[in-house]
Amino acid sequence: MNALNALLSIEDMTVEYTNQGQRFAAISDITIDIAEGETLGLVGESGCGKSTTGRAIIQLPAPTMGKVTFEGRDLSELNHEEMRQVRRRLQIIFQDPVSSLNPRRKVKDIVAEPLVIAGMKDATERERRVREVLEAVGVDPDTAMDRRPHQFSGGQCQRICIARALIMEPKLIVCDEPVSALDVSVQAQILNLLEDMKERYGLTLLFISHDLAVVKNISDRVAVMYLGKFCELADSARIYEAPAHPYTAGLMATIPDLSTIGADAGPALIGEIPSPLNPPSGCRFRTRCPHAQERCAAEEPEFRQIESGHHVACHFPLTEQGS
Amino acid sequence: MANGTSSSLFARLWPFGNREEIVSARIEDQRRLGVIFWLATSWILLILAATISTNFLPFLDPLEQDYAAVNERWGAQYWVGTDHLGRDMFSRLIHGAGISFRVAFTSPFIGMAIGLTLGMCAGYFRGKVDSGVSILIDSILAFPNIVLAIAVLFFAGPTIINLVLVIAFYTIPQFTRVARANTLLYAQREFVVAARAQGASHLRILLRELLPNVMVPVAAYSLLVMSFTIVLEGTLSFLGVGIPPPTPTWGRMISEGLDELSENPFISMYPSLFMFLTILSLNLMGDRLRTMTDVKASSL
Repeated sequence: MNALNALLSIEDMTVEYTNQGQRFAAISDITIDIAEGETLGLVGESGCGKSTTGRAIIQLPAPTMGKVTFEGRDLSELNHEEMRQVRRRLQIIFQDPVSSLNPRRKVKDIVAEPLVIAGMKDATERERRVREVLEAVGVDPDTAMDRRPHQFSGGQCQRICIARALIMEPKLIVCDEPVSALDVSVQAQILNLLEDMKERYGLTLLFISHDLAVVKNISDRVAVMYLGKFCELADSARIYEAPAHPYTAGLMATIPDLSTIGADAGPALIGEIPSPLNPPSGCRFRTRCPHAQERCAAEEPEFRQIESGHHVACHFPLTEQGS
Repeated sequence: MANGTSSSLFARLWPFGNREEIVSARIEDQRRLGVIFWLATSWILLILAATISTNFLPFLDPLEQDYAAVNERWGAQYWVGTDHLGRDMFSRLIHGAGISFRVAFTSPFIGMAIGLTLGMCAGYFRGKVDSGVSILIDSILAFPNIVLAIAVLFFAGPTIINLVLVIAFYTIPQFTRVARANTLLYAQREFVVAARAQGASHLRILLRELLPNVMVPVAAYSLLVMSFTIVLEGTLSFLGVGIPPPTPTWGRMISEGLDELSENPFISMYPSLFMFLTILSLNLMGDRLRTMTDVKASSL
């Protein structure tokens, strides 16, 4: 993939876990670049490795194999202190905003914490920065600063989490399902806030979600994951109009809005995601794929480019079948 | 307040009531401390106040023997009577409480400091640290506690400091377990990952993020440990390895009264009753606070 202005590039990254003595790959050999200033959507069902990818990027835990390069530096080669420096420009927002905030600390302490860790001694300067960032995310500093997280709604807690992520003026924010735990009306507010903050602070976002409708609106490009591997990567408009991978098409068919279902959209997905402990041979999606053939079981499809900027891991992409 | 609590207690015991009422009463019951909690607290505070007041109120000397009034029942001079040596039992009970309370208020703190450190490290770092700590805790529990305490007090001398230290040693496993369990629970929360993503050190996460959360259930648990230390101190005194005579302690008073049981059963009965009420009170308070600070209940 072209990596001229990539802020973050992941090469052959594998994350392995041990479950009851058995090692298995939660994600295996994924390669992707995230360009500066873009929003990359990462979608897939629960357990496909989306969150693991996000955590591996911030090195918590670090990937088992492969390379994560951020601002031209390989993160696995950094020592402890260098990594701490890098962390400030590489932040994360989680799904559950209530669990992301320490229940026993005040909002001003929570938001100021990154500054304290970075060694800012001046308390008045810290308070000024906290006020500034709280105002930016739409939380009134005067009423919020001395309260504790449980006195806020989920949406407000997520705003506070965003404020905490922003206070060090990071380059990249990994958004791990940031709106999944929120009401639909609040989801839109938080998405708008993320867009505004992206513009104001010049951010690059990795937006992880299982909700395609949410990802569609916010992303420039969308990557679809299945069982620890990418199956499709394309511009947001392209992937929603003409999905090439049967899995993507199946996911599209699950979006309730009729107008977004393309002509090529296959039937809704059947069955459940296989266990990553024992993935199917060949193409990992073949057990649920309506177009599966013998070749799919024998040979693992390569993640190849079928048109400019459109990658797919399928022997029989839908766009080629249709033409 | 008292009315509300008693009705909710009634609702819990009465099986034929309106279900909705019972449920709402239960929720209310969880928020309130309840009349039993306040009775228990009053007893502890009363004993504590009496113990402190021995320093400036004119209590009778607990060691002075009045041979003209041996084995007296209650009266104007000796409020709850005298023992077989003619010593004022009321004064002895209050002074004895002093020893029990000194042990009960200091030992758990030493045990808590060590237990918190061990338990939080085990719960946070997991892996080898966790295995190491569990081996340590299992070895402490493997010592028969009375035997070790007797040995230590015999060789090091039965001073109050040695007594406090030996009893503190036995509170370590309990605190370690509570601290470890709560640390495990909070260490999985995303605010800990967020702190690491900000570059916080392990020490900072342990002290700033985890300790304030783990401290609450551990502090509530310390009341239950206090009652355990009073029992252990009483047992050691009863066996004659506690604070040496003539200093009055509840355990020794019970053991001295055994010989006089047919003559004057009150010598053993009063300290037993005091110890029973004190332990019951501490358990009731500790149990109530533990339920209130329980993670499951508070995270709702």
